[in-house]
Formats: sequence, C-alpha cells, structure tokens
Amino acid sequence: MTEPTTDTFATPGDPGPPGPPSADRLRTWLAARVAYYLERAVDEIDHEAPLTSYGLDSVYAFSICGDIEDAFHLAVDPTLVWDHDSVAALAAHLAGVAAAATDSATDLGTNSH
Amino acid sequence: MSTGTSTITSTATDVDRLDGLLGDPWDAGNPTGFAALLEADEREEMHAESERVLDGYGLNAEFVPVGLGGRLAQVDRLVQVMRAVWRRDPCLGLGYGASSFIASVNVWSAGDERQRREVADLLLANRKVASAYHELAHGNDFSRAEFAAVRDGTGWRLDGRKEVVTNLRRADALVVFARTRPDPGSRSHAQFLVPKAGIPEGALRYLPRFPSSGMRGVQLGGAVFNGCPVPGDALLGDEPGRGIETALSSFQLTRSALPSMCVGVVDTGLRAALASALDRRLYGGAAADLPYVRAVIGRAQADLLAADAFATVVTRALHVLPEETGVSAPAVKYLVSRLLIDAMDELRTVLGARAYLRDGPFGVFQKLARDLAPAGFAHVSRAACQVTILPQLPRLARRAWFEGGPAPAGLFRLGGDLPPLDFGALRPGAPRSDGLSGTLVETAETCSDGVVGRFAARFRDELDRLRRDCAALGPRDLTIDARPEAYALAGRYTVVLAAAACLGVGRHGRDGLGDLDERWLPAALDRLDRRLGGPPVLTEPERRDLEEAMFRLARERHDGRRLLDLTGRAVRG
Repeated sequence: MTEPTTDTFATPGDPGPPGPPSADRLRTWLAARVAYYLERAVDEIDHEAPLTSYGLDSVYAFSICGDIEDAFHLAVDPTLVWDHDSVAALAAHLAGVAAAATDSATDLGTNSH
Repeated sequence: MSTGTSTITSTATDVDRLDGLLGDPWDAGNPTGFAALLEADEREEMHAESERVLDGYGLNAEFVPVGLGGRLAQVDRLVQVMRAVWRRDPCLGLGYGASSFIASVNVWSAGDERQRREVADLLLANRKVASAYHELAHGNDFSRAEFAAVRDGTGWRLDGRKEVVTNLRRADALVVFARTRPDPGSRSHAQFLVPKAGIPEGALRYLPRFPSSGMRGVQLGGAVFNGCPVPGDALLGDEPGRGIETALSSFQLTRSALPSMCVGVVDTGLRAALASALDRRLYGGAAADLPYVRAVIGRAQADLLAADAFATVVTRALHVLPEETGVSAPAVKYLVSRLLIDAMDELRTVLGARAYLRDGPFGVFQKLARDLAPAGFAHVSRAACQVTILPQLPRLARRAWFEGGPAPAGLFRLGGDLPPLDFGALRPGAPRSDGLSGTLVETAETCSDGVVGRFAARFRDELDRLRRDCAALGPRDLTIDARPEAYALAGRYTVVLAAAACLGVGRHGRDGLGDLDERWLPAALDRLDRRLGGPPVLTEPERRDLEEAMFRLARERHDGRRLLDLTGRAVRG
C-alpha cells in the first residue's frame, strides 16, 4: 500500500443538493455504491435484484450502511440492507426515513444527525 | 494480599475462595494440582475431582447475569475468576466453564424471559449447555451453515450434522445454529434452545470424537440430527432470521473474554519457565543468571502484560463503548491469542528439554502449550477476525481516526466499577467511532516526554499511516479475497489498538495497578512495536534495562506467590 488513490468512489460520493433525498436520487446513488463494491458498471446493476444474488454479503451490507450514514447524515440500522435487499427496496425505505428525519428536525429546529 | 492490590478486592472474595478450594497447583500432593491434572490429561479425561470442586464453588454462576440469580455483573471480573481455572487447566477452563458461557450468551442476548430462566436454572444447578454452531464443511463461514430447521406444524424439525462441539454429549441443553430458509444472505438462520430431555429416541445420533493434540480431556463431539422435532418456543428471538445478528452480537463478548482468560495459561507457563531457570544449574550457575534466559523471561512477562491490558480494556469496553466492540473484540481475539502463543513458544527455549517432559514438576508446560494452541483457531479463527475487521477500516480511516475524542478515562481504571452490561447494545455493524485510537492521539499530544512519549508518537504515526493506507483500500480488499497487504493492515491496526489500551491504562489506571513497576508500560509497548517492525524506538541499552526490569518483576511475583498479570493478585502458588 503506497499512495492514496484518486478514485472518488472510495468515498461515499456526492449525495446531491441539500434537503431530503428523493427515492430516485437514492436509487442512483445506491446503484453507484453497489457497482463500486462489485467493481461493475453501474448500468449492469438491476435495481430490483436481491443484492445477495450479486454476492454482496454481510461485509458489504455494513459498508453500504456506513456509506448511507456518512453521505446523507441518516442514522440507519446496520442490518438495514439485510431487510431491504435490493436497490429499489432500499431507496424506497430510505426516502421514507429521510423525509421523517427532516420533518422531525424541522419540528425540533435541530439537525437530524 | 498486599495493600497494593486493595482496589480490586471487590472481586477478590470470589476468586480467592475459588483459589483456596483448588489449592496450590504445584503441590504434588494436591488432589487438584498439576500432577493430578496431568494424569487426567494422559487418560484424555476431564479431571473429575477438579470438576467436583468447581461444582462446589458453583462456577457456572459466574456466567449467569445477576438479574437471573448469578454472579455475572462485569465481564472483566468474570475473566479474573476464569483465569484462576485456565491457569491450572485449559481443559477445565473450556470444558467445564467457557463452553457453557459461549452458549448462554446467545440466550442472554436473544432469548425470551422463559428461555433465559431455563438456561439460568440449568447453569445454577451445575448443568452444562453446549453451543452447536460448527459444521466442518463451512468452518468459520457460519452464514453458509446448512444444518436445517424446517417448520413442522407449530414446531420445527432439525436435520444435519454438527461437529467439534464441546460437551455435546453431556450437556443438558443445546444452543443450535440452523438455517431456517434456503435463501443466501444474513436473514436465513436462527438459534434454537433445545433441551436434551425432549429429544425422541433415534432423532439424535452422536459421532465419535476427533483425536486432538491439545484439549485432550475436553469432550469434543459431533452429532447427526435426523428429523429431530423441537417445539416452536425453542426458537431464540421473536422470529427466524435473527441468527447471524445474534451471533455477531454474542461473539463480541466471547471474542474478547476468552482470549483474556488465556492470559492465565501463560501465567503458569512463565512461572514454570522461571522455576526451571532458577532450579537448573548450568556452566557453574543458575540458568536464570544467563542474560539470554533473563531476556526471554522478561519479554514474555512484557507480552503477558500487554495482552492483559488490551484484553481487559476491551472486556471493559463491552460495558462502556459497546458500539465499538464489533471491531475491538475481534482485534483482541486476533492479537492476544498470537501474543500468548508466541510467548509460550519463546519460553519453550528456557525450559529446553524439560518442555517435552510429560510428567514431573515441569510436565505442565507441554500440556499448556498444546492446550493454548486452539486459542488461535477455536470458536473463531484469527483469520476470520481479520476478515471481520478489514471492511471497517476505510470508514474508520475516513471519519473516526484523528476525528473523535478519547475513550472515557474510567474504561482504563482496571478493577473499577462499570455500568451494567447491556446485551442489547452489542450490535453488529460498522462502528462510527474509535475511542481507543482517540486515547492514543490524545496521549501522544499531551505526553511527549520520555520513553512513553516516544512510543505514543510512534503509534500515533502508525495510525496516521493506517489512515492513509486504509482510506485507499479498494472494494476487493475488504473481503476474503483481499491481498495479503490489506490483511496486514488489519493486523497492524490491532497492534495500534493494543498500544492505545496500554497507554490508556498507564495514564488513567495507575491506582488499580498497585505496586507494579511503572516500566511495565514501555516494556509492553516495545513488545507491541516489534510486531510492526520499523526502526526501533529504544536504544539497545534501554531495551536491555526494560527486559531486566521485567525479569525482576516476574521473579518477585513468582517468589511472592502473586499473579504475573496486571492485578498481581496473591495466589496459593
């Protein structure tokens, strides 16, 4: 291991503009993360396919959960990916979590994280 | 007991009582001493008389939470009691004790009130519970476990093989890890609490034991389950699919506590080596006068203290920083088992041919060396621990190291009271913070003087290197297919964590160390640093002085009948 790489995907990537992310934006972002871990092109990722069918095991599941927390400042359960096992299912679930977090942050006048 | 160790007297009562019951192990006339234990080992049996004594003491109560009528309140104190057993006979440590502990932790973590009560009652009645996880075909990769549980009416049927399970035959209940659906992934397994009494004739067939070089007295067994019916309420947890989650939570306890218990094994190995060196006349003097012999013993003493500091701090972290033990517990299993096995290997050279004798006053050494070897692969292998740590490193590098604060000072006050253990707080997943590394960084910033300051700077620099190298790890390097260089990063990180634990104890835990020579800290740090390679922090004269100081420490503790670990507790022998 010598010099740091310049691979921008080694960090969780750009989560996009501020505000609660939509399911569509989450899908795009998640598909890119999954493609990164699988070392495949992003258009090869079937949004409906179970991530386990790609061989994404618990190791990657924890990494993806960590990436979600870091990119969107959402506290997610580490077993989230075990329960929502496709890009589409995860995006739909997270969009709900993000909207709820934003609502409560607005109510309380605090940041969700 | 010296006044210097008075801060740990809150546990001293129990562990002293146990030590008193078991007597001086070196006394050839002691029915539970090394001579008797060696004879049982030659017969490949558990030592029956010692088991009766442990029944009388009620060792199992150490594994049962206080709320259920047992004595388990603090994991570090459980370990102190268990070291009193492991330092005499690892077969008793595992085969009488720790195997029931491993099984029961699953139930404390995931069981309902009735299941917890059932296991507590069994243990408090001196019964055993076996943990049936292992399948030969899948090794540590238990997510591939094939042993199947299939729904059958309101209950389940169990089918498949489990092998190399401690006490499978003599346990009164089993915690069985089984696949509850064929799908890949981490929601396809569950644990079942299976009392033996309910198993019908023919549904469970035992397999012969595999002959082994160590742990020969332990009843390692296998079994074939053939459509074995279990009731619906045997399932641990509200629903199937929680098995991997429960395992990853429970293992944080066992991966930190078991290696810590093994510190007791090297305590005896070191004592045997020292006794041999003091007794043996060579070249007109005692072997213990030879500089080489003194250096090996001094280094082993420093290794033992480094292992103790790291393992004890992480067992305390289960109470204080449970969100971080998903990484620090496998780090203990990985590094401490290695430190201890290597120390025994080096001590072998002090005993020379005596390390091969199977009886007599030094016969215990070869048995302990054989019994310690499984610490590197049993329950979970060191390699599997690396695989657990590796994927966490890029994120820790990105957001934890040099970012978060230090661990609370109380973590390092060995012997001090801790908040209650919350089994629910031990979760699988990716820790967001790393308090131990925070303590390292803080120590390096505030303590720049002297030898300890130099070591703090050295390990801080290593953390900095790790931050750079780990942030650059590609996705393939986070898995079992990682390059050897990536695996090496996980190993180096465990050394940095151990150094941080030692520095934290040196900084905040002095009151709990009694009269321990302060040079233990640079001596332990030097031993850890040598595992990283690189330019030495110490000059050769400095290292020689520290090794001599550690030899003298071992000698004083040996002569004064005190443990060689950080507690320095007074013992019978």
